[in-house]
Amino acid sequence: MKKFNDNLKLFFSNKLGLIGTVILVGFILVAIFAPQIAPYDPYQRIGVPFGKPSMQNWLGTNDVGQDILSEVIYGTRISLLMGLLSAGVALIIGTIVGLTSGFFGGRIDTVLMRAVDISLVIPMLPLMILLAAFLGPSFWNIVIVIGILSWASPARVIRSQVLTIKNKGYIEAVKATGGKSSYIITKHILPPTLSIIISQLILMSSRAILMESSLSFLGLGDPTQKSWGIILYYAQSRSAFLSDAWIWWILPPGLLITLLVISFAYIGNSLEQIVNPRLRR
Amino acid sequence: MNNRYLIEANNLKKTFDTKDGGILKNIKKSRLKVYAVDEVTFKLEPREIIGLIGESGCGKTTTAKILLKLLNVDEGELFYKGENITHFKNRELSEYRKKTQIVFQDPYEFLNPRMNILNIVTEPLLINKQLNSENVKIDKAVEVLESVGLNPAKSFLYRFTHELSGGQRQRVAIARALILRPDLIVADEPTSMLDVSVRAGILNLLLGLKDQYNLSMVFITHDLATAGYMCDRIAVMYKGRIVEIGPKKEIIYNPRHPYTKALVEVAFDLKNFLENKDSFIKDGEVDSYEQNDYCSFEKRCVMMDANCKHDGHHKMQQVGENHFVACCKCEH
Repeated sequence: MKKFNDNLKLFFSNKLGLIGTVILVGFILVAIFAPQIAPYDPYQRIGVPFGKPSMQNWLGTNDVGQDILSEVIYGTRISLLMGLLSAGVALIIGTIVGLTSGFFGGRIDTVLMRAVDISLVIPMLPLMILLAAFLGPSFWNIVIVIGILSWASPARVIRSQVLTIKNKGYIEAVKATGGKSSYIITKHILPPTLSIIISQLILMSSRAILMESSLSFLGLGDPTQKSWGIILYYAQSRSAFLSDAWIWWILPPGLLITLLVISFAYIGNSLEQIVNPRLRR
Repeated sequence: MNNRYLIEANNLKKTFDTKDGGILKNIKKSRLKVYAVDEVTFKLEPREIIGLIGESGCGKTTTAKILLKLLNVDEGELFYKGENITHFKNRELSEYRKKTQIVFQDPYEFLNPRMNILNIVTEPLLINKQLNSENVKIDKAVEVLESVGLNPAKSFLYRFTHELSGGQRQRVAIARALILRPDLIVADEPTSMLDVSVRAGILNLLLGLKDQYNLSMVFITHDLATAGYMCDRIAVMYKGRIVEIGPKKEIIYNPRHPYTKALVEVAFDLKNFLENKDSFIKDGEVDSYEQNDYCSFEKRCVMMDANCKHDGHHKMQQVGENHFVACCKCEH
């Protein structure tokens, strides 16, 4: 418990970590209370198409007359959820691969690590577009595509942690008393790896949010869901870049994506400093 | 096969391949082999303590891991109570695993820093499904902690390893090894990381436990004095081979192998050893890459001459009652 408090103190002693947490908490609150905060239902036509910002519609209206501010607020939900879920999928795959690879070693390790190498080397965006187009645009397909494209680097990090722990004397002692591999992994290897898994999850979330936005912007997202990427996609396809509309139609979701990614990155980096003492100053 | 012996090690052999990086290197020359354990043979009676002594890198710890089936041998056989367990796999081994335990050199490494003493000590019971309830767990832990001299045992249960001293940690490690009531404990340099002041306590504890629990022990050390104190018999290892084995009195008062002689001299008359160092041993370190048929001690032996290569062989010669030595200069 004392250690937890120490870590908490260390985490918040880092200003960036604190800033990131505040921003993220803000986003989470907006996502949860979106129906209360948003002035209109984002799926309802409430004004003229291409309306300029006004007292009723602070950020104007889109091409079919829906309130952009409400869209952006509801978009927080989808983008955040999508990011966390995709990162979750990536981490589940990455953890399984990292644990098996590190723990069993030998030929399994070689095969899995070559797979990681390949996965890291392949240019991400083209493959992502290909997969998303192949699977078709839906919420879960996007989650799966992002998940199976970003498991590789967490797998690497987790493997290296497993390798360190695996060679500790107490693992050998457990083997000598007859402990099975499954017991050793769940009792002795997973707990000290958990902190790394969590920090990786946070870092992966920020990447996943970016990937989701890119896919949606390219028109490969689920068009029935209002995520920030989808808002940008419609804005772009309705030529918002060519008129003044970019100020209220493109800038807000763009800034929010940046802000959310930054907050995740800040938190992830501060967590990594706790997990990996060598990074501490 | 009679069952007089608890453990019989027969011609154990284990080599490791060296890994040198780079693809090209491997093409040029074949990989070097490290002879970690080479034709190690000994027998262990119930309630006996055998000491394996030798310098670092001579294969003591590898031998220990083979005995505990943490490593598989390349050649040779291992018998437990007359049963050949050399090729036993996981499930068949579970009985053997309960009956053999290890105490490591480094109690800092041996105990998981995230677990409290109660969980560390009772983990072997958990693994072997002998835990029924929390009360049984605590009772057993208290009993075993008291038997290793950690009093009052209750006050230790919920502490973590970093709150204990080195000697206390080693006692916890011993308690953990004892809780399954094993027949054999392999102690891998259990005192070498401890302060000199607490060493004797641990050694006496082990001797007391041996009588109390009818234990046999394989006691690994590089210190002849410790081995002389603890063991009934001593096996001296050099470069993976046992070069001399016999009752401790024979080894200490009547050493035959030149390497044993040097060890004994260091322990009992350091001054003489330092003054006449060249007449005991040549400088050098264990280099286990090459192994020849006649003598593993060749490069550092002061008695080495052309005859050794000619008539020598590393097989053991009997030179006294239960006293064997692998040196052609010592035949009688």
